[in-house]
Amino acid sequence: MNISEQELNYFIRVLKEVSAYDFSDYSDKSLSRRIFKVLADNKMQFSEFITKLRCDKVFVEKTVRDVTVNTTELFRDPKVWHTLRYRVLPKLKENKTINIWHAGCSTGQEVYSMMILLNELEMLDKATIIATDINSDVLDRAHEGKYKFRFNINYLDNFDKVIKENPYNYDEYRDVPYEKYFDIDKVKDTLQMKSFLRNKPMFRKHDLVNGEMFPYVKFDIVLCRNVIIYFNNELQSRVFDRFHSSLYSGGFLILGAHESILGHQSTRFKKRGMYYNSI
Amino acid sequence: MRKYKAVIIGGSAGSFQVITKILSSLPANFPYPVILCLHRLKHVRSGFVEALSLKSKLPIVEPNDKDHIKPGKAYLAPANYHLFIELGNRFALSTEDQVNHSRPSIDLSFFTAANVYREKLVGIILSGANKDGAAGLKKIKDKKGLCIVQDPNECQVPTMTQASLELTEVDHTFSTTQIINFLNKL
Amino acid sequence: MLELGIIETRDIIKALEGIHPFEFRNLALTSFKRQLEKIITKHTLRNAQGLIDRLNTDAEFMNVFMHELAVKETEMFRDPSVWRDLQKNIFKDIKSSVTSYKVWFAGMPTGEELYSFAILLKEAGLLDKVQMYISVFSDISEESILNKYIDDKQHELSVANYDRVGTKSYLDKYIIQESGKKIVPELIKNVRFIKQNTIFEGAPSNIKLVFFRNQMIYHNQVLQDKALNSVYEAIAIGGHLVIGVNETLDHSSYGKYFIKKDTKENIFRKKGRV
Repeated sequence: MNISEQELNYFIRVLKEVSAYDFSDYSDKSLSRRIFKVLADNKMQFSEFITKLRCDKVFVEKTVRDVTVNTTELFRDPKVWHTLRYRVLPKLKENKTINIWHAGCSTGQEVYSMMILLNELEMLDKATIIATDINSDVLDRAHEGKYKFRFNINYLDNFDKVIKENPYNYDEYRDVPYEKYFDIDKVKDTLQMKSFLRNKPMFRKHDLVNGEMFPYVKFDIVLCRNVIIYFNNELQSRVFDRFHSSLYSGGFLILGAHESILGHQSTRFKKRGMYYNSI
Repeated sequence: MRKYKAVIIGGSAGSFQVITKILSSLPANFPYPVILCLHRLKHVRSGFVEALSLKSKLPIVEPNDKDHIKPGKAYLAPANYHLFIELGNRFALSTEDQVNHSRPSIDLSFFTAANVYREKLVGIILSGANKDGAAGLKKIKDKKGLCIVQDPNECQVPTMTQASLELTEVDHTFSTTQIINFLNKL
Repeated sequence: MLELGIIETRDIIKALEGIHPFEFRNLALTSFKRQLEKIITKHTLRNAQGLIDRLNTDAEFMNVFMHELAVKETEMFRDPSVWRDLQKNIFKDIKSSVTSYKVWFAGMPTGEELYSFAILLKEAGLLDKVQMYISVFSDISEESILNKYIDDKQHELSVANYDRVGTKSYLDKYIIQESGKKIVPELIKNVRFIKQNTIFEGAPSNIKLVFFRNQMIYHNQVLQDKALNSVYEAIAIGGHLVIGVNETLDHSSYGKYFIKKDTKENIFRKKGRV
C-alpha cells in the first residue's frame, strides 16, 4: 500500500514550501508507505492531504512526526559505540561530572545503550543524562524501556560486540550477563530494561528546532543520530549552531552514520572519524 | 625454488595482539600463505576477521571448504569447524568432535599441514592456555619442518608454548619481534 | 593414536567397495581416514588389516561401519541466524502451502538438525503441514535418530543457540531426562526414513527445502558433484537448498543452477530449467 512516485515527489515539494523540512534526500523506501498510512488513518484523499498541509501548521508537524518514526536499536552501528567506548569516553574519565544530551532519542534504545556502556566503564554515577524528542508518544515508550524480544534479537549481537568484545584485542572478553541490564521474558516476548537504568535519565519533550535551549547547562556529549537528515540546509545550520552553543569547548558531537556537517557550521567543529569535536 | 611452502600459526589466549603485530609487519606480497588456527570462543563471534584486518597488510579470509591455498593471503580457521590442509593444496573443513576442547583445534591443522607440506612448512606456536598444538608442532618436527615457539617469558599465558617446548626440540624460541624479523627474511 | 598410511587406506577402500556399493574412494580423504582410525580404535581392531578382516567375516559389521562413518552433528540449532532466517522466510511458504510441504535432510545426517527444524515447526504450529524425509545409510542410524540423545556438551551449545533463535520457549521443554538427555521423539513421528546405499539412489522428489549442511565437506569434488546432482533433481523449481556457512557451491558444476537468496546465510533457490 503505497502512494505513487509522482505523489511522493509532490508531497516533498509542498513540504519544502510550507516548512523547513526537506525530505529530498530521504532514501527510505518506506516513506511512501507511511504517507499512505497517514491518508488511511485520516480517511483522506491525497489532494485533501496536500490542501491541509498548505494551511494547517500543526498538521504539518504531526505528519512529519508520523512519517519519520525512526527505527532504532540497542547499540545501533556497533562501530560508533566502539568509538565511544575506546576513544571518546576515556577522555572524560577524569571529569567530576559528565553531561550527555540525546537529542531526538526516539524510543530510547540509544539512551539505554549509553547508560549500559557508562556503567561498564564505572562512569554512570557521575553522568547526567537528558533525553529529548518532539514526540511525546515515543518518550513514554522510552521511559518504559520495554521492547519486543524476538523482533529485536539482534540487540543481543550488538550488545556482545560492544560490551563483551574488544575489536582491538580479541583476547579480551567480558562475560557480562544480559540480566545485569534487562530482563527477557520469552513467553510475553518482552525485553525490559531494569529500573536503575529507567530512572536515571530526564526524558523531556523538546523541539530541537524551535524549542528553548537549556539555559544553564552545557554538555560534554551530544548525540543526534538520524534526525537532521530530514532538515534542509538552513535548518541544519541552525541546529548545529544550537549544538555548538550547548557544548563545552572540545565537547563531542555524534551524528548518524551517514550524516555530516556541511556549510559554514563545519568550521566550528573538527571531524575525527565517527565524531566531531566542538572548537 | 623457495625453501618453504607455507607458514602455519597456532594461538589461543594472549595471542591476538601478537598476531596483529605479525600481520601488520608482513608485506602485502608475502610469498607464502599464512594459515592461522586461533582458538575462538564458542559464542558466535563474527567480527574476528574484521578485528584482525584492522592493521593487516595481508588480506585475511575465513576459507570455505575446498578453497585453494594461495600465497600472499592469511587464512583464519572459521568458527566451529576444524581446518584441515588437504593434498592438492586446498582446505577441507570438518565438524568432528572437539580436540583438546577446541574446534578449531590447532593439533588437527598442524597434523594435516605437516602431512602435506612436510619439510617445507614453518610452524609457530604462540601464547595460549591449554596444550592444543603441542602434539601438532611435534608432528611438524617429525616431518622435518621448521618449529618456532613464542618465548614463554613473553607470552601472556605461557601454558601452550611451554607444553610445546616439553614435547619437541624446537628450532627457535623467539620473541614477537624476532618472529617478525624471521618471517620477513623467509 | 593409530595413523593410517595411504596404502593402508587404499586397501580398506578396496575391501569396502568389494562389499558395499558406496563410493568410499570419493570421500574427502583426511576426514575419512580419521573416521577409519576412530572405528578401528573403538572396536579394538588394531590396524587396517584388522578392519578389513572384520568387514570380510562379519556381515553385520558393515551396518555398524556405515553408522559410525557419519560424523555426528555438533549441536542443535547450529548457526542460530540461519534458523532465524528460515523462520522468517520459509515459514510463510509453509503456512500458505496447500499440499504437504516436503523437506529432505540429505547426506548422512545424525538427526540434530531434523529435531531442530521440527521444534521450530511445532512452535509455529506448522508441524502437521510438513512431510520430512531423512536419509540413512544404516538401520542403526535410523534407530539412533528415533531415540535421539544429546551429550552434555551438545546440550549446552544447543540451549544457547535456541535462545538466539528467539522462540517463546526454552529448549528443555523438548528434552526428557531418560538415561541421558533425549529429545522428545513425538516431534518426528511422521518422518520418513530413506534408506540409501549410494549417494544418488532413493532420493525423494518434489522437495521444497533440502538441508545439506556440512555434508559436502566429507565428499571430494567428484562425490560432491554427484550429491548435488541428486539434490538438484529432488528439489522442485523454486525450492530451497541450505548448506553449511563455510561451504560453497562455487567448486561444483551445479553452482550455476542455484541462486543465492538475498541473505548472508547460505540459502539457495533452485533456478528454473536453463
